[in-house]
Amino acid sequence: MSSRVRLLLGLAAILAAMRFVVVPWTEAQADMHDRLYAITRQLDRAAAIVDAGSELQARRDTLADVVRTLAERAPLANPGSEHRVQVQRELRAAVESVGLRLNVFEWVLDGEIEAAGLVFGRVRLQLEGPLRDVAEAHVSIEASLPHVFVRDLIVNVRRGGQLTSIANATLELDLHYRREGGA
Amino acid sequence: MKRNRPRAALERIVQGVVDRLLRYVTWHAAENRSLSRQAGDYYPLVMILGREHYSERSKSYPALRRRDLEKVLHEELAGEPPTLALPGRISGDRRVVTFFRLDRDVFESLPRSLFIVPESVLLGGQLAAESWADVQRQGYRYFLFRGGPSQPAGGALEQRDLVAMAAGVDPDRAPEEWSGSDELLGRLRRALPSLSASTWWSCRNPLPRGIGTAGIAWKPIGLTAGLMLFAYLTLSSVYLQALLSQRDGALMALGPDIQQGLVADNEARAYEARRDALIELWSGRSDTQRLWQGVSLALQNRASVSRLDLRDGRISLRGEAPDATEILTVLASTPGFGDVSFDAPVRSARNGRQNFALSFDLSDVRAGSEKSDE
Repeated sequence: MSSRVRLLLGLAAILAAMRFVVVPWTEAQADMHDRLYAITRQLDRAAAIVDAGSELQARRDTLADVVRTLAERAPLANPGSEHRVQVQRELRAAVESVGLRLNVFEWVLDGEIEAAGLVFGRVRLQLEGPLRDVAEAHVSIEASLPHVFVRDLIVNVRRGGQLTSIANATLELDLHYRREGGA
Repeated sequence: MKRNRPRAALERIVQGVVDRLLRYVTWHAAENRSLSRQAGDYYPLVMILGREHYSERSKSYPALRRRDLEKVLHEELAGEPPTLALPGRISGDRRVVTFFRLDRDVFESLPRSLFIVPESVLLGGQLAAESWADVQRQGYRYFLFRGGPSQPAGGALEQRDLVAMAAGVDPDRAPEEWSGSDELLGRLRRALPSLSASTWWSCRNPLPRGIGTAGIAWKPIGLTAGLMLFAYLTLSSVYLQALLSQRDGALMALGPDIQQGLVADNEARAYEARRDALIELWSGRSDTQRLWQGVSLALQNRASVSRLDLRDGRISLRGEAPDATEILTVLASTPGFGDVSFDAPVRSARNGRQNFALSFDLSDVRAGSEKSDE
């Protein structure tokens, strides 16, 4: 075998070794390097989370207390017919205690405020009685029931238009509750 | 005169450039002399070899292509002392090649130039047709013929007529006499630019050891480089793998703590969102009962109320009053009521009172008081 053939064979062997051994090897190393970079970042984040673990738990507990306090403004309830009857009973008592007559009680709809973790029921009351008593009932409901929102109020006053005049009032309320068994 | 000035300037420039190039040309005879007129120590890229440092012979070959001829010459000269081979022109079906066998000792003592040009090849181009030359310099004498063939003087070939007969030139024609180094230096300067490209190619250094690659021990170097590459790749792979394993393990070990931390973080975020929603909800609850204050103010101003609406936070009040404008003024001047306006034209009733329809908003009393404080 001449020296030129040997030289060419040697070059071919070197090129083949580069192509099939060195290049795949370096590519595998590049992959390993990428994985190492990713895992190092994960490790750094994990270490930061572990280091801040107690702070995170304390913050969570504080927020849980705040949320509990805020949510407790709405009473616990289990939405259903029993609950509706109970609400009707309570509101009837409230309006009748000031001398009004509850002509109609209508449960309009049920809804949920997902972000706040609360449910609500919308009711419509048709009342009849002196204008003064309508005002008193309105004030009483709003003052004593912090979970109740007065949405609409329509009052038609009969002759005179004074506080003692008889009025027909339609009151639409949203009553917010915490669902029993919920957070 | 004016026309000659640019030409003279151009000639000066060309002369300057040629002189610069000639710095790198050295004539090696009894001593080394640069072809440049300016003194200086420059590395010789072209070496003109004196006639005393080589022997000359010629041989006829079939008229092969130049490439094939070079292969033949390469094989013929393999293992021979360093030799330059200058193929001549094809004559008939033959081509004469002139060989210049260089003195090995002199050749190896020379600087590693790119080209080695035999002196007789250069000077032979200076001769006119049918003429020949008797060259003498530095105690050395030789005869030179048109095209480059030469014959050192010595023995029977000291006499010109015998030399002329031997060379096949006209014995009656006297040779030109070139004597002295300076004259030859001038002729070499003039001859160098007219050297053909094929002659330059044939005069390249036959043993290009100037780079020194022949002496390099390629096998051990290649083996060492290969082993070092292998060792580097192995070590770096082991290092990367070890780091990966170690960090993987550390990450796994932190797993439960991370889980706990992540759960706490997620819960905190959820509580935060719920807190914000609750705050927004409760702060959106308006104190609608204050509308009765407005009703009360209207009644105090001798109004009677026929209808009262609360819708979307705005209160509409309809009724009768002796002076509806007074009702509007009172409401507008009372803190907690805003945007008080009539919804319809005020109309006078038969009883002398005015029917009115006005509306107003329940503004934030605290905000109102804060503004008044400012």
